[in-house]
Amino acid sequence: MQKEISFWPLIDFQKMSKREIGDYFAEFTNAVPEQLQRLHIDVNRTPGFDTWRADETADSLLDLGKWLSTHTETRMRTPEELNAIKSRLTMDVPISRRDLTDLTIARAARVGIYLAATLHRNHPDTKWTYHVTPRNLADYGQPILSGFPNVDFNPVRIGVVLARGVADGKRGADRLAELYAFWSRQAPTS
Amino acid sequence: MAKARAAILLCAGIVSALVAPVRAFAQQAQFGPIGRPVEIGRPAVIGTPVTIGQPVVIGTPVVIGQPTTIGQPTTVAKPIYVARPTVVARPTVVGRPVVAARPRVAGYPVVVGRPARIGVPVAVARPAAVGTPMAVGSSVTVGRPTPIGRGTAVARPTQIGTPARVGTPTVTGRPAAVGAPAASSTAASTGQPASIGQASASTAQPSGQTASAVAGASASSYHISYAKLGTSSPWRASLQKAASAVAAAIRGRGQAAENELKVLGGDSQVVFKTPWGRRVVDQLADDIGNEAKSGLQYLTQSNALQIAKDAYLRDTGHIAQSFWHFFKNSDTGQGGPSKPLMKALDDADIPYVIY
Repeated sequence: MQKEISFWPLIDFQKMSKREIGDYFAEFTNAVPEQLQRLHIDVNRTPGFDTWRADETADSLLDLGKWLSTHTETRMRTPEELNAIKSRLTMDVPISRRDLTDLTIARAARVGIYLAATLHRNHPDTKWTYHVTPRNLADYGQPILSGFPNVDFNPVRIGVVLARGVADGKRGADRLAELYAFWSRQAPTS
Repeated sequence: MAKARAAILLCAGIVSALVAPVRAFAQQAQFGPIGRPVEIGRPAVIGTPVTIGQPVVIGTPVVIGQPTTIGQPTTVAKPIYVARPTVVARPTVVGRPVVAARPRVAGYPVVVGRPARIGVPVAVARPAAVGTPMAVGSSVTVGRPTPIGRGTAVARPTQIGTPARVGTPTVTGRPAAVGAPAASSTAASTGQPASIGQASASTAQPSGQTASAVAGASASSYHISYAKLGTSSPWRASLQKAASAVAAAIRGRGQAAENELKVLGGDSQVVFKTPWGRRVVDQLADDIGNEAKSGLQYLTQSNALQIAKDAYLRDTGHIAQSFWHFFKNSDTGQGGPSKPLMKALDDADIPYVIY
């Protein structure tokens, strides 16, 4: 068992040195098999999903999307978190008092990693990497799957954005399969 | 005598050698083809009739005259306006300038005039406006959201992204949709100026937009269009909250544009990579990419490209949604999107608010 790895947005990559980013990247890529295994176990524990297999096929994403749609949980933000958000606002406006739980963020990240692994398996020209320029890059320092024409696949961001959408009722269970189809169409054909 | 004859022949040979390329050049200039490898600068207007050879990289911005035959394999840069009638031969990739040797199957903005014939296989990236009537060949991939005009014959197998609108009378696919900044889709052919939505007072709906596609927001301070999201969409609350906060900020301080979006929190000027270059999101808050526009805004190539990038970021899951904010210009007091721009946003399922 490797040490527990944290994911964006629980990590602020902007505050990390390039060396720390490099270390995180190595840690992240080494942890991918374990994260996939944990996802597999987590899904199989759920009644109705005990036969789900993490075989990295497009079909497997259909059931995984259904699973995620029933496993996104939110929590009340702490006063410290609310104050931190308010301190960055230029005026007092209503802010959301709820956010994803840390467990849901980890699940969402693993779902994103599984999506990346599925893309990588079916499009072997893609590879894991990270960027440290420009500084205001949305994916700054974060592990990404590159090899797509001019764009990168950020599994954690995509997983978390999906989970937030599901939690808010803005996205459905089929969104994960849609994402795979979209990215797969853009992947390089070898 | 023999020397003189030899000298004459030599001179004739030299003249012939000099004239031949000039003649060839003249023929080429008149009838094409444009040889290989050729890079055509920017801006460039390619006359008619012209055959563009292979491989060719066409710069940007480019207007290709009519009738034009584009050879294979050809990479056509963006943004490009393909005139009518235009035949895009196969296999043609209409897309960005190629950085590496590898061709790309993506491109925007592309407007294929009418009548036009797109060969096979051609990938037209979204949101491409395809004219009507036209024939789309087999193995054609048309991205989403792509309006397909009336009278379009679509061969099989053809993959049309959803929500593609086939045969919708409101979609004209006229070339003016891109590259004619101050022209609406109908005004383009006549050169009439476009009608522009008037900032906060605007309740004008884009042409062809269904009544249910637009929902008014609160009071008179702003007006939200939810595009195809629908008024019952769970997005409604999030967007109204954001618009309300920005409207309050405007009332409170009288500032405009990008600065107002900071009230939404999150991060400013966040860079995303897209197939069409970087997209700098003015304010990324709650996974919503907020874009600020000040003054009168038209469906320019720049705005069309931003729409495509935003739709791409949403569809690829990097952001949850894009939301455009139109502010009045503090100097002129005018602001808001033109009807073609509103329609382009609606077609791309991007909601917007006019303050």
